[in-house]
Amino acid sequence: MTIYKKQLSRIVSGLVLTGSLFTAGSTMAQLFPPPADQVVDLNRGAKVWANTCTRCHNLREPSEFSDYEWKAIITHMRIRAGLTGRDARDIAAFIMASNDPVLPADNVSESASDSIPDSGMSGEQIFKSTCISCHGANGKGVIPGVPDFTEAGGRLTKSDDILFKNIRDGFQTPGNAMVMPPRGGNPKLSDKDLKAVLKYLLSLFGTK
Amino acid sequence: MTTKERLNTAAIIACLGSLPGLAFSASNAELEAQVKQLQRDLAEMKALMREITTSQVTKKEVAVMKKQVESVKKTQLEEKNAASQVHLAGYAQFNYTANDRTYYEDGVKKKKYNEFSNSTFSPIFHYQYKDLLMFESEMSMTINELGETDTEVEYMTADLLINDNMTFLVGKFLSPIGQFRQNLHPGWINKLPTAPSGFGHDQAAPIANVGAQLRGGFYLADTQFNYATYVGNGPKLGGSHDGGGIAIEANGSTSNDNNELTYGGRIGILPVDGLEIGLSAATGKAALTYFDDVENIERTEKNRDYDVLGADFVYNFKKFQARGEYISQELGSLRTSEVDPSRNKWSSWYVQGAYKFSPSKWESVLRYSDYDAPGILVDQKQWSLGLNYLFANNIIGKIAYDFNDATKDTLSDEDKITLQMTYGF
Repeated sequence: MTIYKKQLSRIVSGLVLTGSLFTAGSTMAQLFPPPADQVVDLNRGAKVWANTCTRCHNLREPSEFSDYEWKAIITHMRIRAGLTGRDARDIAAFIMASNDPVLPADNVSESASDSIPDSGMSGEQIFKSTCISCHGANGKGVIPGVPDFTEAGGRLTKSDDILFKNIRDGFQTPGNAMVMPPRGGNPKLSDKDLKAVLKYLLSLFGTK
Repeated sequence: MTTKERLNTAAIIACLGSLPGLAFSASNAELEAQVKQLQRDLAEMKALMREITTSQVTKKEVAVMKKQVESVKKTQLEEKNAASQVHLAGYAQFNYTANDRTYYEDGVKKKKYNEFSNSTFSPIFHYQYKDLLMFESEMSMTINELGETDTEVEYMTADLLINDNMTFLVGKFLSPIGQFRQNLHPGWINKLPTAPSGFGHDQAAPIANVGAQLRGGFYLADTQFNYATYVGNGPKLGGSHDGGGIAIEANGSTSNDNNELTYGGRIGILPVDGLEIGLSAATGKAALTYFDDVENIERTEKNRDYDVLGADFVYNFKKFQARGEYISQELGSLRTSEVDPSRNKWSSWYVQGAYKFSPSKWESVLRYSDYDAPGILVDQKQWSLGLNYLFANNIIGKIAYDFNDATKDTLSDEDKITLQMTYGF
């Protein structure tokens, strides 16, 4: 029994030591704003959020709380769920980009991005840099709540105007906690970029 | 001259200028009609002018609006950039239990009726200072059988965020052994209205501890890990000379009756998306306090070995979730004990599957749990079948049937139906 207990003590000590070693060179915890040398990755945040939170509970809708409230909630969950600081920052970026109210736009061709310069990327490049982390290379969705583009009669059978508006303004299926933030979470994409990626999506997965 | 005055003058000149011509070309009646028409036109123009005047924003009004916007902006920035913030979260649950039964307890026949059996409100207070410290506390308020309010501090910790991978916390914390007690017990999270057999208070799973903890997460070759290690006071043991055995209470207390503290922890690994596997262990000493009827004094038997083991997993695949957990607390033997010198072990395990019928709001749950404890009277095997309706992801109505198998004629052996309304906020 004594040997057994000594082994347990060693395991516990090892855990502490391992944690200390892995964190010795880390920056001080900083959630808002992120450290200057780190770029928040909203798409990664969406994936970590969906994978991590559903380990224990149903996803809460981003629009359920304000940015102010999410700050405390994410800090609490970072501690409780054993997330890293980077996980928390990326999740915060995703949540806070997803809880902005979508203002109704009567005219679907109306653009709010006249001032955003085109990225110069092709639809394929945009898909692979922005959309793929949630929708997956095969368009079937890699995290809970993301629709399957290849499904017969599915999401891509909507009109091009509606699909463009959904990408531009963000979209949430009623009853589904997962939200696609405006412009897929990349505010640097112009309307022309969005049309290019939509065209690519339809060519790849479209069934209509 | 203002726009309004200019328009008025133009209208009058237009009226006057047209009169001479009218005198030669039309009768008095026609002239009268034209004048009246002009008067109506003039009235309409005046009304239009009034509308324009009232709808126009003056420079003064713009200045006032600017000040108001600046004031709102300032308030918002102050809130956004404030070093301190407070936040309130929590949950509540309300149960109705149908278990109209006759049963025996210590050989005495008793009766249990259908009842609204549980009303619990558990607010969680958060205070955060920058990204350095979070103070959090959960208070559980429950109405008991006498209608009185029981309050309990479920946890109360000061969490110091040391760096991206580590948080140091001190205070009373939920036991990081396993998953259920730490993360799954709130009503809106637990998929059934009841806890698995053996995962309630004073059973196989430790509830909480008072001490210090290091916890956090890290990545190794893109594989996510989380960990928690702690040191704290040992559990409390109760008993008597009547042969009823030893009772264990691992609920977290601020006293330690032993030569050493309890050390423990859990490590979790997420090898693939949707899967987490955890291993937990703890070791320390426990003290048994009892009342010596012969000497008429309270006695304490100290430094009894205390060991905890746990293993857990959860796997999410689309609309299906599977989870399971094993946990045990073991007391070593104590030859000199006057209450119970033998080894005592409390152990429990469960497996659970849940399926969401989305896009509908229905969810079904099936769980099997098995609890073994010293003395056969509290051993229980349980099948639980539940159906949930998710009004929202955090507002859930549940109904569940527990098929219980335990010592015949005890309450633990009686099946029951539980309805629950719960929400998290």
